[in-house]
Amino acid sequence: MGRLRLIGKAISIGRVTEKYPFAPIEVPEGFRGKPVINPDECIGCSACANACPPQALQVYDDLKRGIRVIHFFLGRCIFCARCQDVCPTDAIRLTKEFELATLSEEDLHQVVELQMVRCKECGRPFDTFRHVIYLAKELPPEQRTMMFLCPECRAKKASKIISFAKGGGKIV
Amino acid sequence: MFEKSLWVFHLNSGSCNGCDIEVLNIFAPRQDVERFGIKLVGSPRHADAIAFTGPITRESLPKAVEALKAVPEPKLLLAIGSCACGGGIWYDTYAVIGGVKEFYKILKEEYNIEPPTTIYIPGCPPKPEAIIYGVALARKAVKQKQKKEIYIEELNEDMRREIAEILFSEAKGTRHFLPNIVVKTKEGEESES
Repeated sequence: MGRLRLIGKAISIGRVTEKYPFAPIEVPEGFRGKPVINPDECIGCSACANACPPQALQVYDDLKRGIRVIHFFLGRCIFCARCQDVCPTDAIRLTKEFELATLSEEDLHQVVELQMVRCKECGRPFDTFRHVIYLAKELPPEQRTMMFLCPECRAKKASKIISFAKGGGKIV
Repeated sequence: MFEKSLWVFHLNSGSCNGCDIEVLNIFAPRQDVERFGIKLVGSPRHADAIAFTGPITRESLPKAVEALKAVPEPKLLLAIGSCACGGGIWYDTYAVIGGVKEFYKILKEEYNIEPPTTIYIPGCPPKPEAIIYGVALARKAVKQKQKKEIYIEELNEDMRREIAEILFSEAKGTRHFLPNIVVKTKEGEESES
């Protein structure tokens, strides 16, 4: 008798198995899938690399070519969404993509290369163009005069101006 | 090569049990993978594929090598989870080899074994459907979606000059723009802006 009731229950519930590989499925709201860098928005500030716990996002400068490389390795990502939280321009977003299986490790990388500004005085690349423009928009126009100097040259110049203001130099 | 029933030996190589639970989930009624003939077996000698979950700790390295040797050819390795793919959050820890890439290096150098075909399934932990997708990829039932993406910003010299002009022309228009200052020292004149 009990077995008959079980069969009736199973029939009333119906089929629960998903047809997944042959039919797509919906993921829930707020699902943390594959992070994607939008290369048009990224300014290369490396806030994401600071926040990333497993250092799946690495930012390093190629000084010879004058390029800042934002290297994202998906195979190490733990999908914590900290990069999304800290990104000032919302360039990195976690999509709902979860079908990430690959046959080779090469396919798990995303590389964004941004051009860098060279210092006006010493010629060393120190920051990306996009980051400089992003900062310039925050600053009032009169404070933008030393934007194209690297931090060391800027410190030297600022100290010269201060010493001049204190009477270190003479106006001709 | 793996078009028929795939028997999987599940090896926990230092995982946190997150991926193991997801592996067990795919045998439950909701994602019933036994309908594809996929089955967990108790011995690597009976298996076609070996599933690694975890960054391969030092303690589990000899056992992982033994298990991989015991799987008959042709074999398939499923690297399930971010830890198995690239080391995960423990990629540079002293007690951990750091993913299957480093594992293959050790295999080649110390044991002289060629690495088997590998399916990388990233995720922390991967969704049960993601694991099914990985297995379907091995059978060539689905197409690979994940591709390497490279973006190179192009910025020629004229654009750089333009940007500089925009920044500085705005500054020169204002009252607070610092004029050129000439500093006289003993050696000579230095012009400062």
